[in-house]
Amino acid sequence: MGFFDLSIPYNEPPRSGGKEIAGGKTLRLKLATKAMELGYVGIAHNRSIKGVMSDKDSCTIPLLTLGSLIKVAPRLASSVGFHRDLLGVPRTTPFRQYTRLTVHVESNAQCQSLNSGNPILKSYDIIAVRPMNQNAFDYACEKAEVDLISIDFTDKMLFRLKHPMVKAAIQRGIYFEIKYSDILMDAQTRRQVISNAKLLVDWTRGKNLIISSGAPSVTELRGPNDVINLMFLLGLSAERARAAISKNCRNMIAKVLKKKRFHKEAVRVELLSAGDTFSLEQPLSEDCMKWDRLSSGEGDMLLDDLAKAFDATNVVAHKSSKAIDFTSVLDGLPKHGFRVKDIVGTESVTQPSAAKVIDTQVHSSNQVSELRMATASSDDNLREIETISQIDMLMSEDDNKVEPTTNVLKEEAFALRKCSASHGQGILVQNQTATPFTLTRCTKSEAASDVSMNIESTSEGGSMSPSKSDHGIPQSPVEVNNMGNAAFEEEASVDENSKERATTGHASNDEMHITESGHHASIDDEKHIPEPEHLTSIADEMKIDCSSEANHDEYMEVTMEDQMHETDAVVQDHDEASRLESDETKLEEEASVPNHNTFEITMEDNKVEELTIEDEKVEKTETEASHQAQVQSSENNNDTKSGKTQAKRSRVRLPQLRPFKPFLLQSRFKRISKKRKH
Amino acid sequence: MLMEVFLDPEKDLLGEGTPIILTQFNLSKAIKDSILVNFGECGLGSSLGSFQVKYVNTITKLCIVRSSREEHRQVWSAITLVKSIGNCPVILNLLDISGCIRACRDTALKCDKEKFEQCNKNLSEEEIRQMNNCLEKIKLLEN
Repeated sequence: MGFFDLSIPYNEPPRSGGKEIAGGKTLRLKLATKAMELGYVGIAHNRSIKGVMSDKDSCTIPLLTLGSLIKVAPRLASSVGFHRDLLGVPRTTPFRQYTRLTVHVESNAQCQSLNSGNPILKSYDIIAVRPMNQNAFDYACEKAEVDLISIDFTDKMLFRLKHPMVKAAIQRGIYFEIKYSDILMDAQTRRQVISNAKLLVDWTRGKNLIISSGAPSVTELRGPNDVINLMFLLGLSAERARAAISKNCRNMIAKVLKKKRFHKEAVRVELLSAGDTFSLEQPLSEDCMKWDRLSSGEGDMLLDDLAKAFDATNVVAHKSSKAIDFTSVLDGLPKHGFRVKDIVGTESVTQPSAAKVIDTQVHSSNQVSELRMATASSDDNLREIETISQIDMLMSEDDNKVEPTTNVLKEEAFALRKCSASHGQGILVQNQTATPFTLTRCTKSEAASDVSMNIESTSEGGSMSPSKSDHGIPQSPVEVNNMGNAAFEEEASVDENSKERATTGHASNDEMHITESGHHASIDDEKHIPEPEHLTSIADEMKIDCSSEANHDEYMEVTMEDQMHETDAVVQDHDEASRLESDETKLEEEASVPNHNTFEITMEDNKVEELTIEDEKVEKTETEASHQAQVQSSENNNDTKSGKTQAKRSRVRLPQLRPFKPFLLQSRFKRISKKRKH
Repeated sequence: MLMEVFLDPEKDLLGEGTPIILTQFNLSKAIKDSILVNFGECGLGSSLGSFQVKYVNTITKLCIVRSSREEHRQVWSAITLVKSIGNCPVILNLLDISGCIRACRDTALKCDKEKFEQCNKNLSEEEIRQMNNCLEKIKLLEN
């Protein structure tokens, strides 16, 4: 997983409007180069503001370009690749840049300006506050709309860190920042920093901590592993420290970008072109996955680009320059040594994974994504189950893999994608909710049923278009896990993360099953079987089944499920829901159900600990489910039970296949319209 | 028994001529000073017993440092806190840490090779020869 350094100082140009200080620019450049070389995958240019903010303070930080980096360090690409390999970071991870503002806050009036309506704040990616007195700190912890609280530990503390304040801040999802470059300074500062920061570390216990460099010069930078070790001096355990420098950063950035780009829980519907055909292995469409959660839109650099730029400017081939024969030392080395392309070029494969999984971060303050069934009209044959799986960033490869594939960057906070499924094809729906989604479920629709929803792929600057039912559009399959080609009825059900869940503070998802009253083609939604590691984290599931059968009555079923922590509850709900649909419709993919289970199981906890536990479980169940799905796909689809039984979840209580009626009557399931039962 | 830390010092001035030659003595002194400053006499005493700089490659700036398992974290922190060797500012970056010299040797060979590729200077014969020597030394490290 990637490491971030979120504090590269930036000095604003003098007020007279002159150009940026030449020294400053090169310094930034050097810092960024060094950071990249050391293996970081993202930096944030930090600008400090004291006093009153004015319009002039809007973000004017120029992001560094590839060319400038190359000039400083011509051999950057290979060196970066080398270090990344050692760190376990995939080479194809783009190098990201963000802009950050640190506001020094002293008085109450200044505190008040830190609200979400402030346009100056909006022009920066990350907002940090540096409180200068007790009042400011209290305000920052409790009310201010910031992302980061940065405290200056180098000197005598101007205020006390109170435990309830810290706790309140953590609950709100605000991160605390520790700068490690202070430790590298002289002995006196070191003393102060360690004693002051230790308190913070104790109280946060490593949660919501972000470690950044704040390095005033290049010598103050350190590699990620070294930083993790330094945090040990502060009392932070190794794994917490590692999370603090990678996972927490990612979480924060994802949250920040989401807030910046999208308004709450907007849903985006994508339009899929009619002619696409889908296969089980291939991703639905490139656009679907090209949502880069962490991209701020510009300034992302790919290693390949670096290499190419370098190659373009440098004619030297390494062929003849290799004078030392290493083959005697290591086997299999080409005589002419490694060329840059060899090192870098092969890595640049974007992998369309069979399961389109886009890793998402789970927010503790999840909100329900409102799924808007744009056209729950009769024409719609929506069958998509959208699963939003949030993947814990424990697996670095996941994210990194996904990001290259989702190279198109712009993510929309919510993209509800309903792929019109042509016959025998699934639907890929991407729903990006407040908790970014990852997993799309494919549903297969009947040959006869028309897929109505058009899906627009979320792409950069893609416009949001209402989902339209379109009969003419052939259904495109979504990636499916081994779905049999049994005829399915399409169902439209949409699961949403219910707001209630959010209110319960549950980081993971509540699901709302909304079966559209559009059509009944019950489509069994199939989940992609994402690569096992993708499944490890929390999965938010968005389920949209559209029933589209002509002979089915339209129904819209909204099931509000209370979010429960227990996985079995979630699983049950899904099971029930899926059963429900499966009952109505004839076919339900078995694979989907177990996948369902697995995904849902993972949905619940945000917590790292639980995620880790669940990871294995999910993986196991996932692989099992997939196996089973393949085996049983041609069998009776209604028999999802076997799939479920395979799920190795001790907590899961597998519901019976038939008696789902009682569940229907429960308050959880609220039917809006009459559902036809066959 | 053996805990070896694998270092790669990177200078402040990227790619420019190194103002200082890395030697075993230089590096060892710098690290010991750092331990003394940060961990005091006791720290220095307890880590000094097994502390040794085993291998230094002046061209690729690769080093292998050995320390005991009990103290390796402290030694590692001290190494990270090293800011300069002599009067030349440095960044010591940990590349790999392993429990036995053998594993370290293998990684060292690989890293050495890669770093060598990355140096684009015209290699004088002298340097090439030195490089070869270093590689030989690595191989002899196993003991």
